[in-house]
Amino acid sequence: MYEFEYRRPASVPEAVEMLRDREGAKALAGGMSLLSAMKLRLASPDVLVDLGRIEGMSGIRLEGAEVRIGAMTRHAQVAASAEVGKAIPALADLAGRIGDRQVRNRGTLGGSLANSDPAACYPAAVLGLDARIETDRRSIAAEAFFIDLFETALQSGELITAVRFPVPRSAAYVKFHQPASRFALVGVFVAVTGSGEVRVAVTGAGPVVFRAASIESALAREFSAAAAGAAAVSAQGLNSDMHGDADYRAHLIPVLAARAVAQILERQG
Amino acid sequence: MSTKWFGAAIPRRQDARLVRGEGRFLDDIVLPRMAHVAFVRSLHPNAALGAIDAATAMQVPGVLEVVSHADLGEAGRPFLQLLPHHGLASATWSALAPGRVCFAGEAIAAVAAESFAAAQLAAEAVAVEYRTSAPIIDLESAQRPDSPLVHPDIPRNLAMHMVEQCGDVEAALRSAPHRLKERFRITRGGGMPLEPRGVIADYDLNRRELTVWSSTQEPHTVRNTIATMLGLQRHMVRVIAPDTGGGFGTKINVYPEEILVPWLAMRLGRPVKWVETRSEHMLSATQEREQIHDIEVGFDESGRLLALKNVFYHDMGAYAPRGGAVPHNTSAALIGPYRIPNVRSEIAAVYTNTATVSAYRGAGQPQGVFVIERAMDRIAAHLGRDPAEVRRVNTILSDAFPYDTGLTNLLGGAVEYESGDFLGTLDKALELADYAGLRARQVEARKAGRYFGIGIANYVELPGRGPWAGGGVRVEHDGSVPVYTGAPSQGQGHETTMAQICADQLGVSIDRIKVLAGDTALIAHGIGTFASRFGVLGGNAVRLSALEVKEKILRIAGEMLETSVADLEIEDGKVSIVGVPDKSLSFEAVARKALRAAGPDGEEPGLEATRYFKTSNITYSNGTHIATVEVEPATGQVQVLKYFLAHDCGRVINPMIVEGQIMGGIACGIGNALLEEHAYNSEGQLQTGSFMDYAMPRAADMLEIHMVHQETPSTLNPLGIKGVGEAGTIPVPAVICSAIEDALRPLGVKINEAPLPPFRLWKLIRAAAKAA
Ligand SMILES: Cc1cc2nc3c(=O)[nH]c(=O)nc-3n(C[C@H](O)[C@H](O)[C@H](O)COP(=O)(O)OP(=O)(O)OC[C@H]3O[C@@H](n4cnc5c(N)ncnc54)[C@H](O)[C@@H]3O)c2cc1C
Repeated sequence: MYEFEYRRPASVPEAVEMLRDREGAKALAGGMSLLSAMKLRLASPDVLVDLGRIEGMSGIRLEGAEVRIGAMTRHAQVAASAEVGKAIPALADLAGRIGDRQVRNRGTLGGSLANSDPAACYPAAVLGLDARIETDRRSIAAEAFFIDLFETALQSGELITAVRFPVPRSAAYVKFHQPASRFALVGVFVAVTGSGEVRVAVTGAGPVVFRAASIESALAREFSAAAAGAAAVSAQGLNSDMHGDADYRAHLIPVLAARAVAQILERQG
Repeated sequence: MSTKWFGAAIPRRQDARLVRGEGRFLDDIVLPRMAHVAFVRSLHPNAALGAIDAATAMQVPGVLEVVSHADLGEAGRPFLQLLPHHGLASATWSALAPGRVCFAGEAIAAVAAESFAAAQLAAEAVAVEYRTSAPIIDLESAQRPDSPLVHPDIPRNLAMHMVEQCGDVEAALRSAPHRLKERFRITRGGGMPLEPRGVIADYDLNRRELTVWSSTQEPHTVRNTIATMLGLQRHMVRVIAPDTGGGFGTKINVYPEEILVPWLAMRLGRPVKWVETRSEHMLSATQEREQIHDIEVGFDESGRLLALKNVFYHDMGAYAPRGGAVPHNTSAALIGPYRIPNVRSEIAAVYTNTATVSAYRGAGQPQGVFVIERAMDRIAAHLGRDPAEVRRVNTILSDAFPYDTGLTNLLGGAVEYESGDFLGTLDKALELADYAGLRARQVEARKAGRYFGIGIANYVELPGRGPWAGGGVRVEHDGSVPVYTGAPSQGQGHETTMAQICADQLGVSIDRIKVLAGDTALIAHGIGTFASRFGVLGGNAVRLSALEVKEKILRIAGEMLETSVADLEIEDGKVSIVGVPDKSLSFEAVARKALRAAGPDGEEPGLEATRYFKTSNITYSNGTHIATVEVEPATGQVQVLKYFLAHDCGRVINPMIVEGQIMGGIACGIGNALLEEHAYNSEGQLQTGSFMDYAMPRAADMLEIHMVHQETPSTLNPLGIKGVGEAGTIPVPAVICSAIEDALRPLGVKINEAPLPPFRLWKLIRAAAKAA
């Protein structure tokens, strides 16, 4: 780790101020991604602005047909939340299977989204549920938020404050582990929204989370595991590494989508 | 001798201490004025080194020294070859890379600084000029005449070419009713101790004494090498292995850092510490397993093997600190528990521009077992016979011992199995698993469209490697009994097992015994802990010493009680006259007398002996493992469902420790079968530099293991011990791959390689589907 300055603001405006002040400043949430990158000397922020003591940045509230989750809410809190468990069980389930216990007790929703790791789980839920990302200055639709590998619509120094998840009719997330990191080699989030739209969001497979159009249209015609499993997904542009080439990832997408649909149908009884 | 302690399931004595976090590991040691070291490691796998510019690095606040090979003088020469043997084109490493580098990660320069952070910062600022050449990474092409060379003076990168044979393989193959040819491949992995390597050195200028702490499996070898390389007398160097958080073979070799750090301590005149980072471990600690085997077998209608011909390539990586020990083990393990009248095994071991290959738990044996056990399954499939039956018809029968396989071991001795009941473990494992029941379940599973498979693998392990080990025993005048050896424990439980042996031999409660190990000041000579050797050799050395001390106790007590030694007995730390239990002497009394009575005419003072147990041959343990798996063809994911085994490691000193060793071994084996893989790209860059890509088995990958012990005493040592440290690991890739192939039989998938992470298995399934 290189030397850095450590700061701990008490409010969002103060944090934004600190981030604007210094070019090499970076927000610190759970530190599960950022600190590892610093230890490996891949990141070297001059200033760390720790969001951990800001009041009101974490917490879960049911607001009408939405669940609002503060950016600093830990994965373990989402996993254990009765509100989330009732309104969007797939989201609680997703959070409960991120990393290990230590990671879930430190890592945050905002940190995960801002990081936009291609293999992260939350982006699939955000895109699959058509959530909105609230920041210190605006509200961004999921579709517009995720841009590319580790790249989001966030401006420099812009802070995520919360995420609003519309409550779906039903949803499920199926994750296939990368054997070493246990992140998603491929993760598929299938949701039937309040208005009945079927959305299928895929993480791990491409440089950034995306919707699988072919599976969505197959499911719009017939909402069954078989329909999802039979849809073809192109390997074009998908990730290749030692744990899976683009073909393997493309092959896994409908396989996992079919499992997610089966879970949804099973839950509906 | 009563066997009150030998054979008892006593909890390991170190566990309570270690579990409470009271262990003292290398990084816990902090010395006054200690400097810290960071290394500059090569970015390229094959390069000549030009200028090494440390000017900027020296400006970093806190930097004390930046050194490269040119600074080392004599200390920079290549290490002596350990275990030199016939036919080896030797290449050993140096404390820092001598003008050229042979793998990405090799240490080029070292920075000493007031803090590790400063050393690391300065190491990044050292500018190294490289003149790069194309590397050779691929094992198979390394031998070609046009291949790049790892060491310019070693033609065709050939480290060793060796043929082992018995009988006439070609003739036997020609006349065999059936023949099969296969190619098998095992991929590289590496031992992953929780605690990485580390060295601290402290040179006392006044006494001219060097003390070194190292996280090593072989403190004496480290001491001897330091003395040789730094031109010191052996008695002026003391090496201590503190509590060690795992070894798995990665800590048996003396590494460049173990010379460089002491050299720096002497140069700076202050203590120096280096603790390996996980990234450094991935890049520069030894790795193992990469081999390609081309085998041909000839057999009859019943599946009986008539001939086995095997040619294999073994990847040595950059250097050969132990010569060809690992591939040689593969060759020996190939035979397993089977009668094979005609064998020819040809080894071509080659250098590549990758991290050095040396022993990793099992050390070549998992590969040999993999090959012969895959062959057994293929023979069974070819003949339409049951794989357990094919193994049975080939198994060496109990009346054939000692059984000479016709091959030789690395020490030049015959591979001769001293004793065993190989059918015994096969039968016990089949019964434990309810093999017939499993086959019935498989029929049901297949009907239901599920891919359920049963795997079987036999193995013969080569533990108890000589030539010797030492163990001393002393009875203090307060009656306490220190036992001291040179071999530290990295989880094997010497603190407990050596105490159990001593307790019985001496006739004293285990509570009085304290086992001290891992310090060259304790005992003059030692070889170390590896190759499942120390229980056998150290245990028997402790027995010899305990018996010698016991004799002296009896002699002195006989004088004190005015009786003949023949009328005395020892129990629970007391000597008494047989039949007169109230007339007894405590060990304390005898020990005091042993000091006081010493005089010109009497005994020498003290109750102490240090003996070494020598052996001319390796002991042979064996066993049978059975596993069931279910495979998901859509993803290539394998789930290991049930695990059964019967094993025989001779007489069991402590069943709880043996079970722990086997279970830990199986966890490692599951990693080797399904997960663990070090990958280099064709440019020679390691793709698995962290646990984000190097997949380790986790708690959730383990399962309940059902095991039975069979005890066939070794005839090569009086305690009848055979050794068990690697037994858990050796057959696991074979048994899991056997089960996977069995599960996927309806799809016609052949398993010729390990490990099989989901992606690789899925590719095999897809290829079989395309071929069908
Ligand atoms: C061993 C391990 C396993 C893991 N497994 C998984 C897994 O299976 N699935 C998965 O999805 N993830 C996994 N993760 C990642 C984990 O979920 C992290 O918590 C997450 O990626 C980052 O969240 P964080 O709160 O720790 O953010 P930090 O590491 O603190 O920050 C990450 C980045 O986000 C920025 N940032 C943080 N908060 C904000 C904010 N409110 N507004 C704007 N920018 C912000 C930071 O500046 C930094 O650039 C794993 C991590 C580890 C260490």
